[in-house]
Amino acid sequence: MSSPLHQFEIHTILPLNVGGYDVSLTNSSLFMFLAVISATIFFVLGMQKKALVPGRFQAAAEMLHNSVANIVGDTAGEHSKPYFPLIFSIFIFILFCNMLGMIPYSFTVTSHILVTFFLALIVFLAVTITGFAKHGLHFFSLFVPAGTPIVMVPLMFVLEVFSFCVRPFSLAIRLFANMMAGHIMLKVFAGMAVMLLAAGGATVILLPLPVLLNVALTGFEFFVAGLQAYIFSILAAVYLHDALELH
Amino acid sequence: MTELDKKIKAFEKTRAEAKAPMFKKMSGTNAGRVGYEFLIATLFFAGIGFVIDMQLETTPWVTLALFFIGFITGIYNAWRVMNVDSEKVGAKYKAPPKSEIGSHDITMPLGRKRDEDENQP
Repeated sequence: MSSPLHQFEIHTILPLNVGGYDVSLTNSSLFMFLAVISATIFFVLGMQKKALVPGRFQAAAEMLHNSVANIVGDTAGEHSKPYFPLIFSIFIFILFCNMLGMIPYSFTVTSHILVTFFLALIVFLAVTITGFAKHGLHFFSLFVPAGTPIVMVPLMFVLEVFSFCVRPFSLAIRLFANMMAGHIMLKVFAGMAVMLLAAGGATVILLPLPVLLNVALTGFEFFVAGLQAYIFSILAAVYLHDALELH
Repeated sequence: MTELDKKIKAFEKTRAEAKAPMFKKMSGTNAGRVGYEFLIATLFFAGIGFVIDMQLETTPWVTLALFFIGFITGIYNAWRVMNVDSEKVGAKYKAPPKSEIGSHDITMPLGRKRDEDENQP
């Protein structure tokens, strides 16, 4: 039986070398492409009819759009509309990567920290650049909470800068750890069922336990897949709120 | 009349204050974040300290120093999640209007009030 970590291995599907850089098509990049393609198909097909009374497809597409629009509007404030496409794209990409990863024998792109880190870095850079572009050097006032006594300002400034710098890591590790831990658990309990079966004899009586647990865990993983995409986008909106409104 | 309005408003304000929960309402998203934000900040700074220690061969001093900085940042982050972010996430959610028809005043035929009309079979 293979190790529970075997599912996270990256292997090359189409070797490609451009200018000394390895840009081969791997299973990771294949599933990223698949996520983008399936998301595009989902929304193009969903919005094709533009019916006043939506069908199932259109209702699903509209529901996703509206829920993210609500998150951004409620959390990031009234000036957040131009940034909605960014947060929506990130949400849909993570959601589709997570959901594609739930298909057996597929690969979960978001279970690699490098992928989630660069997603978080996009948010971090977008927030920082937006903040400086909108407020100039006044953006630094974000690091001094309102009502701070003068004596405390240097300390609070340093703390806030530290806190600001930890953000991309906390965003990245949350998504990566949740996805990886869930998939390892699924594999461990599936492996347990196989081992019980292989052991033969009376141990077969125990077989329903890991199998039933795996059924429950699969449902839970679908929940986590959606929830983590939601949390990622809601935190991106919170950080965006800081850059737009400064407090 | 205006004085009465003022009194009613003042009363409603005190009533709202009395009804307000002692702790700020936290959404589930935020409640789960408190411990996590603390942990990540601590580990992040300790990790950076460890890498610097490996490079400069000053084990364990930079790790220790950055661990404490991370610890303080972590506590501050947890406090932030509880107090600052709570006001942003979920708190601003407004219930959608009941329906387009219900929110507008519909002119009823003379002599009938709307409430009575709705009670009729």
